[in-house]
Amino acid sequence: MRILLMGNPNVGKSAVFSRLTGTQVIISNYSGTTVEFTKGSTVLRAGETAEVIDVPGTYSLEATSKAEEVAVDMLDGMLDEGDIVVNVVDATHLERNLYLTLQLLERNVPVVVALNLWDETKHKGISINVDRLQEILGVPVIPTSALTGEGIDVLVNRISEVAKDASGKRKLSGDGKRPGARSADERWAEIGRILAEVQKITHRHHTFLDRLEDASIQPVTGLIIAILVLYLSFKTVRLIGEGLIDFVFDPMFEGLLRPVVTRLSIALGSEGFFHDLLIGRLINGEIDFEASMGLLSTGLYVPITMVLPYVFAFYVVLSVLEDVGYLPRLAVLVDNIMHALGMHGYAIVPTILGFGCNVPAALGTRILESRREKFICATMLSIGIPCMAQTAVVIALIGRYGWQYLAIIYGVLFALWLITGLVLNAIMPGSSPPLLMEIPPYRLPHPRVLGKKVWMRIRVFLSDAIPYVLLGVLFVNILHVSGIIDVLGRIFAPILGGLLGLPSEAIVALIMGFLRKDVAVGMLSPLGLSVRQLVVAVIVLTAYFPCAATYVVLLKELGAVDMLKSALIALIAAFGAGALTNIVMSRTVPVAYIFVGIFLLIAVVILVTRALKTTKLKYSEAQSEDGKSASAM
Amino acid sequence: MDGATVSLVDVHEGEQVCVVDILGGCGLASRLEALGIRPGTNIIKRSEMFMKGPVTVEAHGTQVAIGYGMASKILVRPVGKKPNKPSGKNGDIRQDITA
Repeated sequence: MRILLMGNPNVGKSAVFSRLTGTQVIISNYSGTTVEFTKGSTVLRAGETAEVIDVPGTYSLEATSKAEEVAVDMLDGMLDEGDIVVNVVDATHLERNLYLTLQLLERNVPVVVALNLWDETKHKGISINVDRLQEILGVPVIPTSALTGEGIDVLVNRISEVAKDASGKRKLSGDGKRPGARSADERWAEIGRILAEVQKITHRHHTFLDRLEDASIQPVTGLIIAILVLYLSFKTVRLIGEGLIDFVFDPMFEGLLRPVVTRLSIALGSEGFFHDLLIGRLINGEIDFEASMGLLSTGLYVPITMVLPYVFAFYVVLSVLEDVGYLPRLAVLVDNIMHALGMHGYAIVPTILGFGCNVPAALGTRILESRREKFICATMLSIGIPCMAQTAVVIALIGRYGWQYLAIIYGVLFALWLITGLVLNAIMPGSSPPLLMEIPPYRLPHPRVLGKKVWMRIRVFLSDAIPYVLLGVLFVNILHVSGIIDVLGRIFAPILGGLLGLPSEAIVALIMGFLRKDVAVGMLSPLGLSVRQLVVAVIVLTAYFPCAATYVVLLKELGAVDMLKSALIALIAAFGAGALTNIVMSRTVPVAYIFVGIFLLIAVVILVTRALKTTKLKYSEAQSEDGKSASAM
Repeated sequence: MDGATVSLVDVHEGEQVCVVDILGGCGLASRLEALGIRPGTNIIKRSEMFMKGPVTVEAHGTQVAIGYGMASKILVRPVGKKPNKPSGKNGDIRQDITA
């Protein structure tokens, strides 16, 4: 049998799922954390195993986004005997949540209601008469607090009971005990009646969190809070990341690994194929963990010492922001800007995820309603958002030349991101759908839940990244030994040298970049590039193509044709921006002027796209007189 | 208590209003409806972002951000400036709405 967890977004379905199955899934304090269904299994009372499915949140059974579609499809597909829907309900927002409950009951599927977030009702001055609610709905209602685990065992018991007689009852269904499909008006009227009977709200004083909630969506205070939050996030990531590298990982590698690999290097005779493969080439007679390119040197050093601390730091900060519930408020703040780029404000959520890793970000674009929006967001993401793994290596490699070079790299990437959106919004038919989203209340993060989430993300990083890095290092060694790299270098020399001012050996980094961006950037280190060449190479490496893992996800999400378009745009953007940066920087222009240039470029693009948009609008208005109502949407 | 019907974007922050009508296609109406915002619902306008940014309202104790264009299609009628009362008032208010 199967148990479907269904409910409104952000009511804690995934938390219930974790409790039931013991499987860890990402849970956050905002709508749309789960965009795909997740499966797990649980043992019911009678010792029977049941498959539990965590379904993306939906407000009603009329889907309005891809994630909601998944939810409704799941329900439609699930009409086997003995299957059960566990309707997870936010007890603090009973009124809105009951709409879906009523719709589910009308479908005549066996339902158990989990009244989740039960512990929060007390703080909020809400009291619910559970027995009466159960009586009215005619199905079991169990108060739960999935984060603490309260009520979960009772829920499991009731599921077992319902499951036992569900298979029998189903055959009898059709005698119409429950009402059939009703109109929305009837449902809302029914909800009003139910609430009048079961729910009492006592007034309570505004807390500090309430005031903070209001302040963060007001124009002036909201902007100040956003700047503060982003600044603090950035500072914290650097502090944790750098601290871990300097005081933990680097000493650990120097103290533990260096003696071992040095001895191994001597034992292998300091050169030869196996030496190069395992230890890498010696630089000035010594093993250079960053540049030697051996499996045991660079292959371990890059992912663990250079990247892991920053990935960890980023996910700690991101997870706090997620669990507090800040991200949707940021979406409100940037909604205007995002509309100019062809998306609504919620697109900022996958974009921020992208700074950690582009893979979950590409999946996260599912919370956007239209195909157009998804395409724009995904393309901008793969061009302009470097993942934390890459950022970590960039900071290590280029930070030593001074912050201004990092500023140029991120300035150019930001400009690329912005221009991509502006241009795509102008040339693609259609317009961005309006923002409509629930803003969750601020919640204080639960340390244990937070820790679990960070650990889960780190585990994904370790299990995905390290094999890829090792594979990449192996692959590059083979390319070197076989001489293929020299051939490719000669072929691409005109582009690399002429356009970007890079030596032909840089091709190895571009090839590696298909697989992993962090190692690719690391590979620039032994080439002896000037800082200008490094900046250009990093910009091109970020933008020209998403890494293999992201590519696979995008291919699935966008389809082959759109992915091809997206990849072409990325290629043009990357080499264009690389060439331009190369030209500007080879004239030894001060950083300030570069930024003025970026601003001017963006301004020009904005003006041109505006002009394009208005002419297109006029044209389409002239085209259809009667199509007014349709285009007004 | 009586007031003229205005668009949600013209309402002051902190004011409690009652939704009278939702203009625009049924797609818009049904998306709002799923969030519990429908003719007859009492909502409080919480904020409006600058330069025609999203309007945030509180409906049934939940905050919902609505894009400006969408918000301008929600017609409302003031019902006084009291903070929101406990819910369960949907039915009676809808009686005196005339289109």
